[in-house]
Amino acid sequence: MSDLAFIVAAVVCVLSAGLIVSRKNPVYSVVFMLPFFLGMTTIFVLLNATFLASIQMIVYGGAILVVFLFVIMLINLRPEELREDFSMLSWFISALAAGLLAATMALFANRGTTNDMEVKFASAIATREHGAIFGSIESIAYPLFEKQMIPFELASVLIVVATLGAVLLSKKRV
Amino acid sequence: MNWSELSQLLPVGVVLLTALVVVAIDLFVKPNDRFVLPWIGVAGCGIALAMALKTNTAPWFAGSHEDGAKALILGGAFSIDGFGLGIWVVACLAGALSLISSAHHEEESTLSAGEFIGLILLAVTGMMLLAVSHDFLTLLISLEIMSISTYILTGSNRHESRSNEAALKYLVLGAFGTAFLLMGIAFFYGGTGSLDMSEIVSGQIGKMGQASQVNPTFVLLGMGLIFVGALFKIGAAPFHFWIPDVYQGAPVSVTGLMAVGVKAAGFAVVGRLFFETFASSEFSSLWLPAIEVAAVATMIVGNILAMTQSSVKRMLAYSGIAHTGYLMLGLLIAPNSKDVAEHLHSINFYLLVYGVMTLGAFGVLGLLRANGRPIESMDDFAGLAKEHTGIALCMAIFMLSLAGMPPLGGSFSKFMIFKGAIKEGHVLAAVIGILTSVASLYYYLRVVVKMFMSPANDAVKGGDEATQCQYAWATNLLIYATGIVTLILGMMPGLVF
Repeated sequence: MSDLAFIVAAVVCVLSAGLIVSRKNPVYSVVFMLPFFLGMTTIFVLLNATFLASIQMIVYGGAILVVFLFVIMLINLRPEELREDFSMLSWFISALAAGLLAATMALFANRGTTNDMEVKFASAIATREHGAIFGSIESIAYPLFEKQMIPFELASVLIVVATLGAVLLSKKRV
Repeated sequence: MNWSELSQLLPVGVVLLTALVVVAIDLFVKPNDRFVLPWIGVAGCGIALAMALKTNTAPWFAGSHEDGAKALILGGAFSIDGFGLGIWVVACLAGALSLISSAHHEEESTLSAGEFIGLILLAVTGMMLLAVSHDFLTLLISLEIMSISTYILTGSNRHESRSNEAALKYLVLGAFGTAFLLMGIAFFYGGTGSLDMSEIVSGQIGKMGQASQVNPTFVLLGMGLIFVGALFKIGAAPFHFWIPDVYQGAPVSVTGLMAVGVKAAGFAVVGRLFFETFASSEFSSLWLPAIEVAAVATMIVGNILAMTQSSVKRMLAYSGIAHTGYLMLGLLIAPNSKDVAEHLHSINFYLLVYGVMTLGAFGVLGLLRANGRPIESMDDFAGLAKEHTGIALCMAIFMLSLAGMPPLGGSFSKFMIFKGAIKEGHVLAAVIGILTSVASLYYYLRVVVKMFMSPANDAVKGGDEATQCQYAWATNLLIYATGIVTLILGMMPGLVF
């Protein structure tokens, strides 16, 4: 079951990544980032990195995507303007870089983890506070709401400062 | 969470609440009634000041004291101790006085907007939190609350290019300084595995290196980077470059807040770091010479560059750098010595006196107009004594007190600092301090001579406009009050010292 989910997610990721770089219109490229992020989120969930998964969804899928979209709409790029300096050379260089990256990853894919490391990692996970699993939401939440609660609450004051500053610097004269 | 512990932070809470209340009220009042907003802020700062004075004073630095654990609250996030409370007083005072001096900028609406006053109060909140934070994470967040508010306040004069330039410079260089500090904190955390600021005070690092998982190299690297970041924030040489441009570009009331409040909060951080976190002799043998060199460099650079300035605002900025140098002389003491409390006490007193006289001087700069613009260059002061004798007299008091002339407040505070440095055997640094403060008379007296002995030029006539301004009485009151307090602090320092 999880193998099937991984295959689906991986295919979605690779396909949408291809679509991101190959679209003429940058707005389409940005829109195809969404399935890409969704696929990545699925892979993170399969790896038990639930916190990373939710952050991937909230920060990348939510904030960064919208910022990209805003920027592209603000500078108002037309596809035909973009096409001209997108020459064969740059295709070639990107393909070369992508090939190198793939080759490196293929070389090291099976060397990274040995059984010994996995055992160590598992024992490190087991000794975490409150029995929370490393990388899980609990292991982030306990320090955030217990040990470091004060700085976390003070961050809200910082956000108030930022909000007031934005108003002060952009408000029209009244 | 313990309410009795939390209640010790009530003065900070009052300032924070006042900030939010001011912003909320601003939405409902008519433009003509906006003048109440600064006064609400002043009241908030006043209440916080009174509460801070009433709080029981713990030993000077909690970690360096046996019964210090009592001062630690909220799981070690804050430490309510003597030095922190002293900085609270200075920060509240700076906030209240800069709000008063901003009150008469009624005609420039961005300056009297609720957001402006709210940000001043939030900056004061940040300073107060910074003065008592005892955990690197709390420290960083408080520092950012203070810094980001001051970045924005610096640029609040949106329609003046100099203000914009100052804000951008301050933002970039301030972020640079924070980055150093943050990197240092990261190394410290990597080396000790703890964010508590008194974690390594208990043991010698050499021993700990073997006994536990402390990595001495990382801790030392962290200390170095934190040191650089802290010097950045207090504006000590060689990290002082941002001060003149920022102080000159910012609105006058904000400059006063920065010169006094930010510096006081910076010294609170420096003090806590050196006398609590890096207090063991292995560290102090490293940072004491570094502080000494930086202090001497700061005094020399600040005083020499101040002499060449033709703008009084810029001159006060350089003199602020020089005063940072004098204050750093107060840090020249081994943390395990029994005189530490006395040294910290004189730093605190110095900050208070410096705050009163500097805010008074910036009050004068904010009140008077020449050619419809706030008074700034030396020439604008020519013949001021004839038209505004009282204000000129007060300005003379501030200038002479900043130079350290007896019997004014600045002389006693300087005396205590130099005495402490000589007692600890840092004679050369103290002598350089005394010589540079003699040299500083040159540029302080230039203002006095201009005011009393030069003939008036047409430019100062514009000064009448400001004194007739609707709420100028408040700034007038501020100037006279700070002038009198400077006198009293010099003649009867025992009142607060």
